[in-house]
Amino acid sequence: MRLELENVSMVYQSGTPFSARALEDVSLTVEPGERLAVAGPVGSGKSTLLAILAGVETPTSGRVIHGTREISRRQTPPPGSIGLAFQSPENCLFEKTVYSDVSFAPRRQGLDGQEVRRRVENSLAAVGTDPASIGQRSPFSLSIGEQRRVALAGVLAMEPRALLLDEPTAYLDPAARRELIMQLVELNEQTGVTMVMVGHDMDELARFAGRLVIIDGGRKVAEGRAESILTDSALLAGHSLDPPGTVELCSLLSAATGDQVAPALSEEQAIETLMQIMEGKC
Amino acid sequence: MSTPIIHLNNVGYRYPHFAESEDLALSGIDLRIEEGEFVGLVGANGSGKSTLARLLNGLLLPTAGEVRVGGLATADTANLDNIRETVGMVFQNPDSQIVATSVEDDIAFGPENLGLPAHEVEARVEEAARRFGIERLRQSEPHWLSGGQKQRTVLAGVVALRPRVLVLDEPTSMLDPRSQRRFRDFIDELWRGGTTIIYITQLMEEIATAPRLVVMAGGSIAFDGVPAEFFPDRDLLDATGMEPPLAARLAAGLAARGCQVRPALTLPELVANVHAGSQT
Repeated sequence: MRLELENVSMVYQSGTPFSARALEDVSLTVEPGERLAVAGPVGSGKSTLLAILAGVETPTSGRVIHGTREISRRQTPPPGSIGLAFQSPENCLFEKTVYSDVSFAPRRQGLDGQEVRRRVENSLAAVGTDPASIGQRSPFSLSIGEQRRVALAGVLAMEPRALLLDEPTAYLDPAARRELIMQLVELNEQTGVTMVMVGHDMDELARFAGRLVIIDGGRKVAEGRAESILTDSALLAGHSLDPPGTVELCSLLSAATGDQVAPALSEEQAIETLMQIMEGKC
Repeated sequence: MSTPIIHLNNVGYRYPHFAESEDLALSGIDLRIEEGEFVGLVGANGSGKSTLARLLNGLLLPTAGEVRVGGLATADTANLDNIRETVGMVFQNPDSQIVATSVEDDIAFGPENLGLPAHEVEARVEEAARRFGIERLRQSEPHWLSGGQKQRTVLAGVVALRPRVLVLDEPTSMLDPRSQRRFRDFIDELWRGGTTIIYITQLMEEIATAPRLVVMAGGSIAFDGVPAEFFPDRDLLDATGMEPPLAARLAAGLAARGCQVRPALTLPELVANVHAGSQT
């Protein structure tokens, strides 16, 4: 599903002494089936943008369009069309068992028992957990990494047409991060669900995103293919962001060798680059 | 031998809602930390890092063994005021640590409760707010701040207490890279000033150059030494479910392709080693 923001501005507590502008005239189109990353420094408006895109916050001005439908306070998105995973979604776990937690939304959607079961099992499998071994456990007996996945499975069980994720890997260990990003990419490729992910770890965004938008001070300051933005160290530095480690490595190599070393976007590519510099020593 | 500032002797911990048959959260932990040390504490999700952190100022009491802070046992409730003045804690989620209705009141909460005079409280609030770049937000209501701004508010509040030991449980996970570096510089500054630092993180880059690294796995200490001995050790990495920093992964990747390069933990170190290798 295509998601569009047209000239969206957001002022929190407008008209009070605490009035704070979070977004300023942001226009953005998320194409159906794409994986878009939204990056920006702390307090830049990333999470606000995601909430407005999801239709859970109403902008002070501007339009929000889901497919062909304009979203407003009176015209909310149809239930289950948008999956929004907040920061630390495991804080939303509440049921006695993993199975009942993940099945909560499909049950509320009035689906029959067989369909609910299918969705729960598919969702738990999609986040790399085994429904049979985990289903009857209490979500609160799981590690944070498992809780995070179960919470995401609960969002997936609605089979949303767009999945919006706010820093989905925060607090996970490096192995769990890598795995979750892989699973999200795989899910997008298999089902074509549109994905928007907010984050600031550029190594991770490099593995996830096809396209990337940078938000700073509530404004959209850059938009383009992930490769071109992630290799533009000067642009990133101007917005308190670091390039991916492999790009930083190539800058350091350029400085050390005096030659211009082309930026690498994956570890494989970086190793190739290093081998070229070490030519004859391998 | 001097009394260590933190001393865990054969410590075990079982969460009360867990049945006897389930795994202990911690078991057989022996750990001595001297005043002024910087200790990086890492481990996979569920390895017991956060439980260990909560034992260090008596938030949790060991169900086996003994935890001593500056020689005082945490199990004796008469010691707890003293212990909690000594050990400051910053947890993962800033929302659960903010108590006041404005940023400056939140920073002042701790110092006020130490009974410090008003001018001293004000001086500490001002200093802490400046250090974390939140002077502009002093009058703001915390619940309107972004996640990262809340995190800095919490950090400022703990640092305003000037604890001798600072336990930080993934303090930078909500911060952008520049704020992460600024925060790390500040922690290093506190450490050089004599504060003992126990730094829990999932970002291996943050502790790659720490003087001491403790790695937890399955509720026990799997490694206690310098990072340069841990990250090149494939068996230890597999056993603890850890991943080395990028520089070490690339060095290992080169080695696997027959390119011999000295192990490195940071990118500048890797570049220097590769550059030196290509010149000889």
